[in-house]
Parts: sequence; structure tokens; C-alpha cells
Amino acid sequence: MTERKVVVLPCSGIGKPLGTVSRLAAYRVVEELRPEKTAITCLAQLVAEEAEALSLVRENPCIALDGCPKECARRNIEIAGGKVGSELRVMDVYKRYKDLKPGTVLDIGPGGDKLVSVIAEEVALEVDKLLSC
Amino acid sequence: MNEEVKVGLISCSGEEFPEGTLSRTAVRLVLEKLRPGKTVTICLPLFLAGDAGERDFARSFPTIVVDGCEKLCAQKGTEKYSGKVDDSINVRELLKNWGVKSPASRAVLDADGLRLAERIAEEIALRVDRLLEKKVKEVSSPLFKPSCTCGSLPAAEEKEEPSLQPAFSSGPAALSVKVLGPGCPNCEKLYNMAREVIAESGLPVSLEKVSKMQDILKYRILATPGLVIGEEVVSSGRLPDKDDIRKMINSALAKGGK
Repeated sequence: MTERKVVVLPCSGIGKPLGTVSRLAAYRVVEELRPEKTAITCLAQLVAEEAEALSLVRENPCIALDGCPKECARRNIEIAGGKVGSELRVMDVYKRYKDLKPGTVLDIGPGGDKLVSVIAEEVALEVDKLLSC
Repeated sequence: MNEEVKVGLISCSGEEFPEGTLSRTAVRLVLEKLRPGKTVTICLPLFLAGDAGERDFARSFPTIVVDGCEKLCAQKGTEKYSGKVDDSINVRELLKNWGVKSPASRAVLDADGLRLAERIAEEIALRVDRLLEKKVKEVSSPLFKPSCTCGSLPAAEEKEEPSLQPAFSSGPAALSVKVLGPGCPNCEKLYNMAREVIAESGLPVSLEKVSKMQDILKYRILATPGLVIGEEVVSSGRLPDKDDIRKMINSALAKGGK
């Protein structure tokens, strides 16, 4: 990748609906809201120390999207030697939008879908900020 | 069937490819619909972001990893940070063998994608059954000795000390708590934590240490340390923290204790 992009990395937590919300919000940004300005890689590739994924997070600003207080996305980026330009904790956003309650891990439902939209919009603004620095 | 033996499932959940979404969806289907109660899971990135208790996962449960592609990140990560993998599935390879294409979208699976995830889930469930059968046979074998999460091997010779050591009780006991372990560091740690919880809370609970292998085996656990509350195995092959222990004791007391 020659052009500087923002790497959006969700935790994709498999145990809680907010993990799914983080994953879908990341896709919304990368595929719909800021496709030219962002990239995504597998968090699992950082765990497995895949060279290409490590380079991506080391050479570009990253946004971590975390679904729970364990903050796996942020911590794995940092352990990989990447710089977390911004972190968005999904549960913090949810606290601001309590009416947008997600359903289950496999089906986050209409509330979860709306929460994905809210989070994706916030992440898109963070992308713009990071690239303007 | 031994209710205590559960299979651990670890999905790569890869975000880059649709096969990562398939691996994640299929694992959830097994957990929720096909083999609930027989399977457990953990987020792969927790092996790096979490603590020692989380890294004990593959040493505590016979484990199947489900990878989306040939990079095998779940397998590599699990083996590096947690423990041995008992079985593995590579979704991309599976689809190739079945002669079917990957879904077009990695974000949301359409009806065809969901059917594919269900088919993969069926394959995982079959592997779960096979692994459970193998592990239950192992546990039932007279030669079986549970391994310990601290990595120490089962003692070749039994200690001469009595197996049941009624070491601590805060008063007339309404509930019995036992720590199963041959005396290695993790077993001692669990015993000490349980002792502290009981002492701090003043609960009417007795605490015993079960260290003789023949007595530990009666509880049919795969790995030590084990925690038995009211004669029910509530944890094995991992170190619950003090809060967990307190909650488990309170819950057993609320049910009437034994």
C-alpha cells in the first residue's frame, strides 16, 4: 500500500453482541463510508504475527473498535508495534444510546443495526481527522 | 457421557475475507444451536490481550480451531499462546473440497452464505462429538491422570499424606468445598484463594484439599486444579479468580448448599 490509509480494526468479539457491532461498523466504514481512505485486516493475523498485517498496522494510523473492556483490538495493535491513533469503545457509545440495544451475536437486530450506523459515522469522522494530521 | 468434558472452539473471525465471517458464524451456530452445553469459546485476540487464565483455555478444554484461510491464524495463535490443538478446520479448504464458492460479502451472509455456515457448523459438530467421545474414553480409562494447567506432569507416585485434608472451616458447614489437585503450584494457588474467600466472608463453608489421584479421578476432570462445590464440579483446568469463587459459593448456598 503506497498511499497512507487508516486501518480500522474491530475486536470482532465472538462472545458478545457488541463484538458483532464492532465488526459490522468497521465494514460499514471500510466498504461504504470511507472506502478510499481506509483498510482492514484480520486481528487474528496480528496474533499469528503475519508479516503483511504487521507492516500495515506499523506503517499506518489505526483505529481500534473494541466491544468490551478487555480492549483486544487496541492491545493487539500496540503489541504488534502499531500506533492507535484513535480508539472507540463500542460499549461507551452504547451507553450514550441506550435505546439502541443490540440483539444477539448472530443477529444484532434493528437496535444493533442503528448502533452500527452511529458508530460507523463516528469512526468515519475519526478517519478524516487522522488523515488531516 | 461425562457432563464436565466440554470442547473448546476457537474461530479466527478473520475480518479480511468472507471465510472469516463463515468461521465465526459457524462456530456460533455450534455453540448456540447444535451443541449448546457441550462447547465453549474464547476470543482469539484475548490470548495476547488477556491474562494467564485466558491463555489456559486450550490446556483446560480439548480444542478445535476453525480457520478461514490457509494462514491458519487461529491454529498458530492458539498453539503459540495457549496449548495443543486437538483438531482443526480450514474453511477455505473445506469449501474447495465441497466444490462451492465463498460468499461474495464478508460483512453480511446472504441466504446461501447462511446455508454454507450451517453446513460448516454441522462439520464442526461432528468433530466435537468425535473429540468428546475420545476424551470421555480417556477420562474413563484406569490409566488416565488429569494434567495440570501449571504444566506439571501428574505425580508418578502418590503422596503418603491423607487425600482429604479438612484444612479450614469457618464454622458449622452448610456447604462443602473441595480443591482437587496433586499439590502443584496452581492447585495450591486455588486452595489458598478459596481459603481466603471463605475466611473473608465468614460463610458457613468447609474447605478440603483432595490430593490423591484416585480420589481426584472420581470427579472425572480432564485437568487440575478442580473446584468442587457441594459435590458438583464447578471448574477444572483453570484458575478462577476470587470473585468467581465467591459467586460460585454464594450461588450454591442460595440453592441450599450440601
